[in-house]
Amino acid sequence: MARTRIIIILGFLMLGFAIMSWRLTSLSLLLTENNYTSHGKKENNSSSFAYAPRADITDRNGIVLATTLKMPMLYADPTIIPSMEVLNNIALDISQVLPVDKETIAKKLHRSGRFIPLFKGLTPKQQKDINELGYPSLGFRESFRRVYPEQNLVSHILGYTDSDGLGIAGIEKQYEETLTKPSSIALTIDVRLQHILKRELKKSINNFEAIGGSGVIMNVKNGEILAMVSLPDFDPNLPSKAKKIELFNRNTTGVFEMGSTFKLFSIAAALEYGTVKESDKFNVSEPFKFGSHTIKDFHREKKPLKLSEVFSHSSNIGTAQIAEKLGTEKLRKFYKNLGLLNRLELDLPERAYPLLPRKWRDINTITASYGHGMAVTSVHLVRAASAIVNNGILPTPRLLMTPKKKYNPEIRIISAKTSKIMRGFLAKVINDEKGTGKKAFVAGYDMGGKTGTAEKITSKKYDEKLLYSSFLGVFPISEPEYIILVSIDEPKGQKDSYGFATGGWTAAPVIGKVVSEIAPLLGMIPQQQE
Amino acid sequence: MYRENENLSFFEKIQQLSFGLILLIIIVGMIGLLALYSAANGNLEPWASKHIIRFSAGFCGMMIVAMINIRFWLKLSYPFYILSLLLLIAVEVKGHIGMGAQRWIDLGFMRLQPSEVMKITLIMALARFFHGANLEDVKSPLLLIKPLILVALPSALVLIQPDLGTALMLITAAGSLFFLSGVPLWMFGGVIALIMASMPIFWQFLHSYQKKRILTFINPENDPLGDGYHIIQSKIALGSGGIKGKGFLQGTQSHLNFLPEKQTDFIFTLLAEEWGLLGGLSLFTILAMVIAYGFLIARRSYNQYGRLLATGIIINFALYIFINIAMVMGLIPVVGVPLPMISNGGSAMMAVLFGFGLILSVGVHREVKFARKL
Repeated sequence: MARTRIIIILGFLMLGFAIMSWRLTSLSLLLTENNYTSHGKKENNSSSFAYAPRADITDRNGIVLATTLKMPMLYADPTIIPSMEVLNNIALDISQVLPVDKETIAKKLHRSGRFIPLFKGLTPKQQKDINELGYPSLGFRESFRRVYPEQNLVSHILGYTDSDGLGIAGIEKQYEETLTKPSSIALTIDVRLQHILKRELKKSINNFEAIGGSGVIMNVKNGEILAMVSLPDFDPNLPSKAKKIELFNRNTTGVFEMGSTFKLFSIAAALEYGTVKESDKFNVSEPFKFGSHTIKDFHREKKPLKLSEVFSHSSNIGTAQIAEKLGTEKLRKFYKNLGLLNRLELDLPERAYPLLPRKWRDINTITASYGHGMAVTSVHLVRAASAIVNNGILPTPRLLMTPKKKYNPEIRIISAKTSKIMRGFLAKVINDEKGTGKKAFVAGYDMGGKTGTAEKITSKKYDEKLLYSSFLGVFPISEPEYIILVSIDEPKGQKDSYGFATGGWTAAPVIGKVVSEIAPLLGMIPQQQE
Repeated sequence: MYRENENLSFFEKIQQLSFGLILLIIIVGMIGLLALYSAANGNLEPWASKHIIRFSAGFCGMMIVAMINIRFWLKLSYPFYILSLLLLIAVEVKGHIGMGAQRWIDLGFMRLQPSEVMKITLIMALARFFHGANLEDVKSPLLLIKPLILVALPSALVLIQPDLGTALMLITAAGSLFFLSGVPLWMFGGVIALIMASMPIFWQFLHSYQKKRILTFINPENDPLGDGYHIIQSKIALGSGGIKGKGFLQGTQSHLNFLPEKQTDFIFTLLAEEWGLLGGLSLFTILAMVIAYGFLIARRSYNQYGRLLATGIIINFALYIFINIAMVMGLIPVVGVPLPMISNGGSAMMAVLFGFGLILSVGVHREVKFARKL
């Protein structure tokens, strides 16, 4: 026998013993170090089932909105349960530790197999309690659970994951790949603002017995969404318990006829195209007739209105006249540039297409000028309105602090001059004695705004009693930074609102309260009143 | 200078025995006894009592084998090989008739697994062949056809059982003998290439369940709750002993029945849990010493047959240990290879003790010389 070949064989054998010894040592020392003493915890330590957990989602200040916790799963091996008596005891004991009833457990223990999952997502306390029961037929399997500490607060934005940890809605779905890589995501949302907005919105919904409502706060310059609330909402920790209506994100999937807030766009378009001048006067004493259609105003004004008054008194007749003069082609082009005719752009999978007339006739131009006959999402509206107040530059709404894609930085829609005129109009709505948005006034902050009250369509007819009431606020109006839209769905008139349920009564006060609370958080100092 | 010891008296032979190796074998057997006693929660029944009877019988057999002249074993190499091959075919046929795989033949007092016997007799046959072949012969591919057939027949038979662990051991042990006999390295490369090339063809002839087993063998993640369960529990038990272990009869993992089949292939986990890291490493040391003795005896033999036989058997013994321990530690998939003389199971222990008998015989008759060409 060749000597070198024997040495090679001996080398292999020594290597074999070395590997065995090393492996035994590492297994022994590893488990000893962690001081695992019961079989369940030790199984958690086995790497066989470990996978990289899903990354966190935080708000803009690093507050955790979604995280992944190691929460083991309890399973049983019924083949080693010695008797029926023991089986029943196990079921009883488990039902006293975990929120699950005895019968359910007993039923599972009767199944055949060596691995019967009993309960998912145990807390450390629950795991300890189960361990102390001391049943050898019970064990734990390492598993991860997605936890949303803020519960309902940011539900529609975050979305949720299914039981396999796969994102199936919201940011969880949109950035599935990023989160599973894993690298964490910081949202533009500020939970403090989110909380204030939700609280005030909820109050108004309750006061006016509305079926729901929504609110968005956005930075008009860079499109960062700081808060976005849709009510009713759900707890993403328990997505299976959520009703369909609760899962519905009113801000991005809900399209509504927005009403008078659209006057911002039609009047800005007319000013930009030069078809009206700021000094023009409009006779609104008679209803506006267009073919078989008649357009009326909420309050009829006898004297001619200035352009600013058409806006602040929210005259449909005046706006219809302006739109007629502007023409279909220009209005449509203008709306298109504002993104109102395209699918919503936002980093969420839930993005709606606007609802538009099947065939755009001139009458559609007239109604669209005051926000009827077409429906868009809240975010569509907020984005387009930002362009009007932001010196004419259109931002792209976004939810990520560090965007994954490049945004077109400068889309100019109108001139800075037109923007300034429109800001003046918006300020008047709140500050003027006869303005529709007086209730949004906040002492110390210069704000602008516009009410919107649309009648909802029930079986193809507009219903005077079913309203979609909203208010769009901009602050500071002299040099806008933030835009806020609050919408209340089907508010009912109350005694203390003298039966009114319009945007000025339902949504404007929400804006006033919200701005007074969030402005200091956004670093704005109230100005001294004269 | 050497003394012709062809005609040693019985007592002279006794003196020539390697008592160190015998002592080590007894120690290993006793470790097995303690482990099986503990596996039954401190009872002799059902495993420990049978183990001690089998070990005693096997030990006596080993001593008898050791006393018999190596010439006799040389002459019996081919007949033994043919006999175990026939037994293998017999279980295959019987299994087919019985509509199921059967790996053993019932001898009344024990169930004999021909595949375990084949592990030893294949080595005997190959040692016999290479004894008659000189360094020039083994360089000729044509002359290697015969030993290749010797390996291929039993390997194919156990592979269709299917018993991948045994096939792996047969081929590896045989390969080492080819290697030690001086077969040129390029031929190994050639054979490996040939096997690789024929795999897709071989694949076509497999049943779907066989394919599945092989796929699971290649990727154990396919079956995490089946074999995976053994491995997880086993690793827990291995690690939970810590450095010093939980103490004899104190292994909770094993006794609480978390560990399935603890008395068979997974016996090492029980040992490691109860005796800890130190106990496990001590067992490794003892086993390594047994292997070292095997090599020493092989080296001192004056004849090629003895050298190859002792080396082949000791490599086979090492393979049992490596495959079993690696499987238990989760380094390789579960393939069903016992830990000889420790885990419950007669055939492997009988075969291994018979093998040690041959090694001892090589040692006793080390000065026997016979012609290479027979």
